[in-house]
Amino acid sequence: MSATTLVARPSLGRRSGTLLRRLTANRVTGCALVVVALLVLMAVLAPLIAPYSPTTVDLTHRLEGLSGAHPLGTDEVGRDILSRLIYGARISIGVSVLVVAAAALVGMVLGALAGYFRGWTDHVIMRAVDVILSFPSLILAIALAAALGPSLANAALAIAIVKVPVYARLAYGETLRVRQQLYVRAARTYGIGSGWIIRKHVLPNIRSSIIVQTTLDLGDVILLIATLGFLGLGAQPPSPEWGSMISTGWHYLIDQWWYPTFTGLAIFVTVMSFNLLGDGVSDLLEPTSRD
Amino acid sequence: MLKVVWQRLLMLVLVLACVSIATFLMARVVPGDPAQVIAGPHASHATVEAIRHQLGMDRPLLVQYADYMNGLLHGDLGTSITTRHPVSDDLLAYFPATLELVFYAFLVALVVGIPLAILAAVKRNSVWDYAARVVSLAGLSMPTFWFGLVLILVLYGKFGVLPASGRLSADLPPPPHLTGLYTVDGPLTGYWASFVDAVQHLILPVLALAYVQLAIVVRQLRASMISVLATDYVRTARAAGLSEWTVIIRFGLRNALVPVLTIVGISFGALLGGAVVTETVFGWPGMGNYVVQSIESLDFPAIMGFTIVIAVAYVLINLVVDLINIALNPEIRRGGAS
Amino acid sequence: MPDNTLALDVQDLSLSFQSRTGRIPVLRNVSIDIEPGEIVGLVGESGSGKSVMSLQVARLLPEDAVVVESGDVTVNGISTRAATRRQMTRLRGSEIGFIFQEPMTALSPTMTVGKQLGLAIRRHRGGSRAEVRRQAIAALDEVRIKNPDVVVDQYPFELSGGMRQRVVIALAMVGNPSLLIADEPTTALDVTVQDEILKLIRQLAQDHGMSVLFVSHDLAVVSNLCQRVFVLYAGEIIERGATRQIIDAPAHPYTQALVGALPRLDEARELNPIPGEPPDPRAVEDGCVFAPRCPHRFEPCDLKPPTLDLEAGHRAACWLHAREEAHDAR
Repeated sequence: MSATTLVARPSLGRRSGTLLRRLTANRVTGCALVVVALLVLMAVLAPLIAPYSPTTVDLTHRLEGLSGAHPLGTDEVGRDILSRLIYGARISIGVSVLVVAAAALVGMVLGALAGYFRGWTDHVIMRAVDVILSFPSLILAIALAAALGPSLANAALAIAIVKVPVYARLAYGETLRVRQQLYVRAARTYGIGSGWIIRKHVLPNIRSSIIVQTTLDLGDVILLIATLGFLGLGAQPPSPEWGSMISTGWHYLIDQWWYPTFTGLAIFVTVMSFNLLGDGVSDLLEPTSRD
Repeated sequence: MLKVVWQRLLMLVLVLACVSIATFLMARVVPGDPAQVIAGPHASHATVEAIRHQLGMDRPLLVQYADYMNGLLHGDLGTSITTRHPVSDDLLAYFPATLELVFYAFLVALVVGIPLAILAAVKRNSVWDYAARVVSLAGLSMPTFWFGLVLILVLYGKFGVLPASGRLSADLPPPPHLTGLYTVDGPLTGYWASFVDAVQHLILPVLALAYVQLAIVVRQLRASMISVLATDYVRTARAAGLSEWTVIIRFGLRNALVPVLTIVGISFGALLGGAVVTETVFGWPGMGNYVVQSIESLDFPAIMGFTIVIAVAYVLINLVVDLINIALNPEIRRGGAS
Repeated sequence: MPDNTLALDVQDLSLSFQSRTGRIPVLRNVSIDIEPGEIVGLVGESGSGKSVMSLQVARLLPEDAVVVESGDVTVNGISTRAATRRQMTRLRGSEIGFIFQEPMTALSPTMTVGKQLGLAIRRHRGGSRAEVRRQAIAALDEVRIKNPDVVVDQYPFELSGGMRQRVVIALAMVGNPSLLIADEPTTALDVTVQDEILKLIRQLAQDHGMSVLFVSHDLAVVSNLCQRVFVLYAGEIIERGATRQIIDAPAHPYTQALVGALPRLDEARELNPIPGEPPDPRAVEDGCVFAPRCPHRFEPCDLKPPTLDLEAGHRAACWLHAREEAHDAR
């Protein structure tokens, strides 16, 4: 009995309650949830909210500072920065969700296949996973994106590939474990399909791990998209993707500081909210002694 | 113990095989014909063919691959399309700058991060604890390139205290090349003015790069320390009347480091990746900058050469981490519990 | 130090835990006294607060979660409530030795047994490296570990639970404490090893003139080892006395139930577990704390019973005996 268990705080009554309520019980996580919801809303309603079109060029108002007409100024071809940031949220958040979903799906399928059928399938898939994990994520993403050609789609693909291994390993480990259970062996002798077994027994067990991992990955993927954009490998100009905005904007850092600064701030705030939310979710589903 | 080393080396071989095949295929398959690029847009078909023959690109694929692998094993990473030098020469030239940057960033991350994490864990819910949590959250959420830009904006643009690009001011000579690391060569050869200038140029890029690493170290170590400080053996140490310092460091930190080490090894990847962006932002003449420029000019041999070198470095770093882990963990060494 | 100083004097200690929802009383008006050289037992079921009591003597509970409402704990005349952190650190090891319940996790996994003992030896006695090592081996020998010169270089995971517990005891003895607190030291051990450890504790107490506070839920073990016993229920001392008195003539119904549940070799009986559960510390009602479970409950029990003297040194907090007293007085 350690000293801290003696001082363990009494449980706050029922541990049930909707997911929402449990999330918002922690003030910080509740805040993060609100911000994320607002960002998503902003992205979805972009055409309604943004004061200008993100692509309208106006060379008479280049590189203007903060003003009533342009609350965040204009860029080097006169486009309203605020509007571009709002539209940029669509790209960052939308693509991130797609990438994480794809990586999780593909990863789980591959991992489950490898764990279930063993043999060659196992070797090939899990070695490939190991190879991917032998690289620093950003560097591999850069190499892949460069090889495929600079575009948002290729960057998304590159990032998805980099993110697959974690999910593959999760599914692999659980599939191996489940496979050995007596009831699975019995089911197989009855000829029950492997797909059914995987769905029914493997997936529910790893559900919370997957949820934790995806929420943590969402923020990271947004960062990766922006970084690749900054390096010229992701979305290309004139797309209002935040990273590529900075790839042109940073040349104006000293004199028109608001241009790259606010864009980067958008990335920062978005990623931080997702990370905070992710932390809250992961605390809820897999409580550790973090606190 | 040897098993771990063996596994790592096997992985290295596998990784190299994959990367080399990928590199090879990409250079031959991807749209954008290097021969065309070299020849220029107005060259005749015959000229392009001649160049292609010169590059050996008209031989069978397998022969080309064998040739490539042979070169690889001898350290030949191909020739850069833009600089016309062997890629290995280019990388070697730019390596010291990157090494200096990465080394100091890692050092700063540890020197600041470890004490902060310990303070946060020992004094829960104090100002240190909140600072640690904020710092690590921000560091994990912040794009490194943006942080670098903000540092430049404030400390160079607004206050003018530190330089924003390059390793040295234009008017100062670099110290004679012994290691290529200005902070080592400078003192060794007495080029003190250059040394001081080099240090000044290092400050901002190191800060920008170190921050993410710092965030990771603080986050992991704080959690690990909190967990360890709640264990029975820490309580035993306190009950025996040992000083707080001994308890926290020799019973606490010593045990908390073990799980953190693996994470730190993996986080080195973030450090290397961050180096690429940091060098770009600060005009730092290192390997990261080299690869970014290679990307812009579609210089595939250079890009892939860089990737191979980084892959090797990363595997070796993790191997070192594994060895340190073994050294720190007596259970592995002595073969498990009785 | 004057000879009549108690090794341990818990004076009317009331202690609560500070939680997010308020304060939870854990110990209420607890008084325990131990003379130099005595072995005293503290008996209680889990949740009674006995571990909290023992930890509080050495102030090993997280300071920000614990509130001492009233009372004090003095060790060899030194007040632990008034002591600063640094003074407490000095007290630990030199005046107070502690043995914990779970030996498997009680030692640092990354340091050899000799290193951990050595740190304590250097702290309390000092000496050169060779000298410290010699003393570590001697310490291991004193707790009857075979081949101490080999064990001194081993890691805890290489030792069995019983051996680890001996190391913990050796560690506790390094500073030659005047009071040894043993919190369920044998509960997690095999029965055969239990006996050896208990004998070891008795021997060490004798050899060093040391007092022992032996905390346990097992009245049988306590009656074997201890000269006097305090019975703790729901944070209150409900009976105290010499071991003989407690076992032969338990006065409080709770103690009677505990004694009744002792397995005996001379007569066959049913095990009689006490019905009900200890009260939730957050919802303590007025009156006798055992009343809800007491088979002898009657009207006065709605008021808190005073502690009544029965015979020399034997006291119980129960209205049943007040009636007898009143009866005797007539």
